[in-house]
Amino acid sequence: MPEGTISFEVGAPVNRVWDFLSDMRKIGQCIPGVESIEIHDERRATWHLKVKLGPLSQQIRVETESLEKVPPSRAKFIGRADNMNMTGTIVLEPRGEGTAVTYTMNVETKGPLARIMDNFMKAKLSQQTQEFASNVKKSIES
Amino acid sequence: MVEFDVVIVGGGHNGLVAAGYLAKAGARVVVLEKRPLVGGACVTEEPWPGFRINTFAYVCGLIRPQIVEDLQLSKFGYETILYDPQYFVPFPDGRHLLMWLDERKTLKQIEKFSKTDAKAYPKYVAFWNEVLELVEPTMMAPPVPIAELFGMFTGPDAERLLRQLFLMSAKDFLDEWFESDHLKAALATQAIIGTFNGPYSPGTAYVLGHHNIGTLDGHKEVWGYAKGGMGRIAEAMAKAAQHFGATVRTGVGVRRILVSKGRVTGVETEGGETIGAKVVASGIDAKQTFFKLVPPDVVEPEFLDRVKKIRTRGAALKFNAGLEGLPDYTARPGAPGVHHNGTVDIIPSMDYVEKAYDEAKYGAFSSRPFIETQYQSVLDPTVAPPGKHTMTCFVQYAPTELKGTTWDAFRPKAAEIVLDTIEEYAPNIRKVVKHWQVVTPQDMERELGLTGGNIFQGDITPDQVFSFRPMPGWANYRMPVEGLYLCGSATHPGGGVLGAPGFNAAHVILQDLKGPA
Repeated sequence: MPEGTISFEVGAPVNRVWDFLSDMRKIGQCIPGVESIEIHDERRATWHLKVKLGPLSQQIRVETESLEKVPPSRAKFIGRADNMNMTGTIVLEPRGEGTAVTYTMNVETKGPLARIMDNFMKAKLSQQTQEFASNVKKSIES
Repeated sequence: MVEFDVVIVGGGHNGLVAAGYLAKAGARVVVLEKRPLVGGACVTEEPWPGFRINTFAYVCGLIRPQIVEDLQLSKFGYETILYDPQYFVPFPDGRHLLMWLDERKTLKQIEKFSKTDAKAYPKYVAFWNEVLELVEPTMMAPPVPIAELFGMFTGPDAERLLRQLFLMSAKDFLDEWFESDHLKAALATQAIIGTFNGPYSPGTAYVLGHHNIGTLDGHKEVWGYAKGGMGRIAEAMAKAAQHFGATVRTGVGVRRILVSKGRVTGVETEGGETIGAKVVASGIDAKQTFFKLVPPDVVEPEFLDRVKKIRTRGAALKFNAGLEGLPDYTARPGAPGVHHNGTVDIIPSMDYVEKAYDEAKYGAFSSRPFIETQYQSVLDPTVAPPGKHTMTCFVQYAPTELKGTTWDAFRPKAAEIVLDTIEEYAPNIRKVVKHWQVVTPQDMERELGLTGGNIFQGDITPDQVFSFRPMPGWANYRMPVEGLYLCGSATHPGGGVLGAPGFNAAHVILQDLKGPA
């Protein structure tokens, strides 16, 4: 199962980081490729993603659900798409005046293209998590 | 009594990769190689004292990085030399083109022929980089039905890509990118290598893509030498497989694959030894496997008919030589020069090579062939005696059978044609050649079991790749006898020293050995 983890620091107190990352709309806006978000309730949202693979791009609809929220330190969500499920885990720890964030994304591919999608995601996940971290930092720190 | 879990027939690079992964996962594996050395077509031999020649395959770059890492090949002697420039193409009008690793230097070269093309070239390189990003994940997995693969992507971009890669000829494809015939000819080489098609044949754009997936030392779309020769790759793979517990035996040919009650039970060697196994994985091509090793009565005639129809036409011969010095090219005088570092292509135009193909279509060796040459000793002195050089030429087109003569009879004439052709570009060639050998398509079939002398174990045109390889319905490495698998270049993703077919077959076999979850 492809997995990508990134640890980074955000120059803001842990409560502010928690408020941002536990908001389905705000966290959704930091996911690479998200074009629009539909919020259904506090726990559920739909992300419309455009994923680029080589010279091609694909529109993906991801039904997202919050699985766990332990304020202000831990959150877990799942995103379900046609050919894969993505589970994201966020762990926050105060670090001085800022916050240490560890973000882990696990991808479980399914269907006849699972092996190929696995390989795609293995190649993509590192870039995706880095982009997510950069988006989060930029959004909160600015 | 079962002695092994898996017997691998043929110690070519894919058989060795499969053995490495199977053994690493704990399977009891034996590789049986008929020749006295491992590697199949990926070997380095010493036909003349001190000259280590890549008899068949001659450059590396296609081997998948994951395999190098997983099997720890560097620990076992795998080392590469990335050459620069990558290509030197001398033209009859006295001009030449050098393609460097540094794109800026290449653009200056292209500007000599067309400023417009120099502007387009970075986009062309970026296009192939993006295609590689798309294709790479499909190589290290069994092929899925091609309709499902295509169904992953829709829209005009996807349509355009499918049209370009699967339907177009290299000529039409390159015409859409560039105007200079010199540049187009230089780039078209990768569309025809080893393929019995000319650049005007539909589908050759795909072959161009297949040969643009090279990755070495962090560079994409590149080629290099295996230090010490191509055989070092196979030797490293064999050592890795042995390290993980596999047995590798050379000088042991397989006479037949044993089948009882519809499933394989092992093999009988040419020496009369019986080796029992739950699984037999054949690294040799589908035709050799089913028409020489598998008992004819255990497979449906319809299946055999489909195997027979796999296109395995020879396209090229090798002219290998030991040199006293280096050829001096009129288009760039001086020897040695940087232009001897990498690949030297004699391909003055696409029309030239199409005409060469025309002759071969009707059973003749091209009177003026396309020739791809390497002088590995220039960057790797370990392969030649001090002050001497090696030369390997991949010469196209050489059909499987010659009309009105035989390859054995024609061999000296073929050598003369190769030397005559090179002499037009490097007049001193005959003075520097000390030893030579011609390896014909027939030699490749006799020595390596490559049917028709097809170096890919089957053409890699769009109708014989992905889920069409080796043939529709049988692309998942499992064959219609329980316990029998193909693991060589005959399977997805095809020929070249990739290792991916062996990787994929090993994972399918492991899954089957483990049984249903």
